[in-house]
Amino acid sequence: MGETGKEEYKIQSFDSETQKLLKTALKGQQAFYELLCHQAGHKGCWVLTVFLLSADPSNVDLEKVANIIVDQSLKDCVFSKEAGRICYTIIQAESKQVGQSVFRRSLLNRLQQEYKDREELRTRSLQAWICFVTFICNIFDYLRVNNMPMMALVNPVYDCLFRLAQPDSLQKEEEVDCLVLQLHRIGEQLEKMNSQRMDELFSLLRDGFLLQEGLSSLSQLLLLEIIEFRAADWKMTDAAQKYYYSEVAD
Amino acid sequence: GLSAASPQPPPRWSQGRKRGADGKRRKQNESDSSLFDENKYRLSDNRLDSFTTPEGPGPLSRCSDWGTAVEEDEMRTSVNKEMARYRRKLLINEFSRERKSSSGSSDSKESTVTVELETDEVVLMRRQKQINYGKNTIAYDRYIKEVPRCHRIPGVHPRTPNKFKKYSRRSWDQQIKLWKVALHSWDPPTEEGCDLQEISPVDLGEMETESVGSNSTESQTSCQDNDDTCSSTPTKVRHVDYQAEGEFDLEVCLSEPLKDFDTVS
Repeated sequence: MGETGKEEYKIQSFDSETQKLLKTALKGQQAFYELLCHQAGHKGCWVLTVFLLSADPSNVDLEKVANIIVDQSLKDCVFSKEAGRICYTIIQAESKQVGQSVFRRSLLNRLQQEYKDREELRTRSLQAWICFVTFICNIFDYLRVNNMPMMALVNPVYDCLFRLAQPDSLQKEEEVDCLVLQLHRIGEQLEKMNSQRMDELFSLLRDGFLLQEGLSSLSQLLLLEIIEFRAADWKMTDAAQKYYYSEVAD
Repeated sequence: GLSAASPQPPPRWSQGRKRGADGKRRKQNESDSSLFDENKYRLSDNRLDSFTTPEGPGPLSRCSDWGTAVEEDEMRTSVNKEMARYRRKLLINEFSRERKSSSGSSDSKESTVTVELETDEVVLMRRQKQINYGKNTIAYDRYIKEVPRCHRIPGVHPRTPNKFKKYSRRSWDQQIKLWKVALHSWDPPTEEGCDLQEISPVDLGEMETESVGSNSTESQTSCQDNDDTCSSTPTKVRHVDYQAEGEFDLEVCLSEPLKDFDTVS
């Protein structure tokens, strides 16, 4: 490999663990992919991103990478919150270096598959379902097309949020928590893309808050907070901040 | 049909493709399994769920996969941005021209501030796909490396057809065909030897000045296009006009026409 000199130099600038990872990566792609699977959380995929940026994307199987990232995000909720940023970086790198969008296409189509089977996913594993919703919302947040959000994702995202607003989901704190978190992050954008569906969603939330049996106090609190948040035009008012987020003086 | 008995070299046009329909880069002499399925995207169960070709009826693929939907969205917004830049460029040029002929000498052409452009999104998307198809070739890559835009000789070097101009369907498709044929001169050498084509300036010249085909309803606007000299001089040499080609170089565009107008008036 004539490029080892250059690669060596780049590797030296990382910490020893990362160095080890990168050296393995350069030795063989299969090993690299396996390594990636074993790396839980951010570190593995940031290493991946760095590697891709310094290597030639045309030598990397980006479709495989996309699948690995989706797999990881379904297992690790912390990762799925950050994955959007990583995906964005890879997409930019591929676009600039080879002017293609293999990674984006693979990512989106895989995401679509998961979306189609979301009911099964939820039945199989509540945690994986929550990770999926977090992930798709994160992707919606980060991936833009000429500075606009991706139209193709608007309705699917709404569908997921609507699912979370169903009675059986409202009874689960983790799902309510996921729902309000996503609305905090992307609610405003989503509303701009389709305000009617947002109105319908909040109808459900109001009903849920008022009428749903089996709502935990925490869930009630979360729902009330998001209803107020949207009513304040997706902004945190001082009063709400004080009420929901300040420490209660004894 | 293809004869399975004797292995035939793949058609030249498929050899020159940088990437298969799925977007993956191909090695140079690799046979393309998506050869006859250009622009069809297969789902994992191998059903054809979409069918888009540049010659298709419209830009919207009938598929519902997110990857393609987003790509089309991207193309649409890019085309719209390009259109805005192109309009600005024409306006700026118009503005500079008026400045130059401030002496009051009569222009032989009417000064049309509004030139009719192709604005139909369906048409623009179809044309853009055809252009992308032609640019997605090794030949094109080699061409732009070998001949920087500023060194292009009109009538000699192929130029991407201008999708914003009004042309009849026939005229446009013909321009695309000729352009792609001309690009073949930069095909990578094959085992049979490099088949360079004669570049025929005459052909390109005729094509370029062929204002909208006489049969089409759009032809009425052609003479109002202030770039076309609907003059009597039979043009074998293409006049320099503009086109949106990927990234605009506004400076280049602005400098070219002023030279041209000097010779005309």
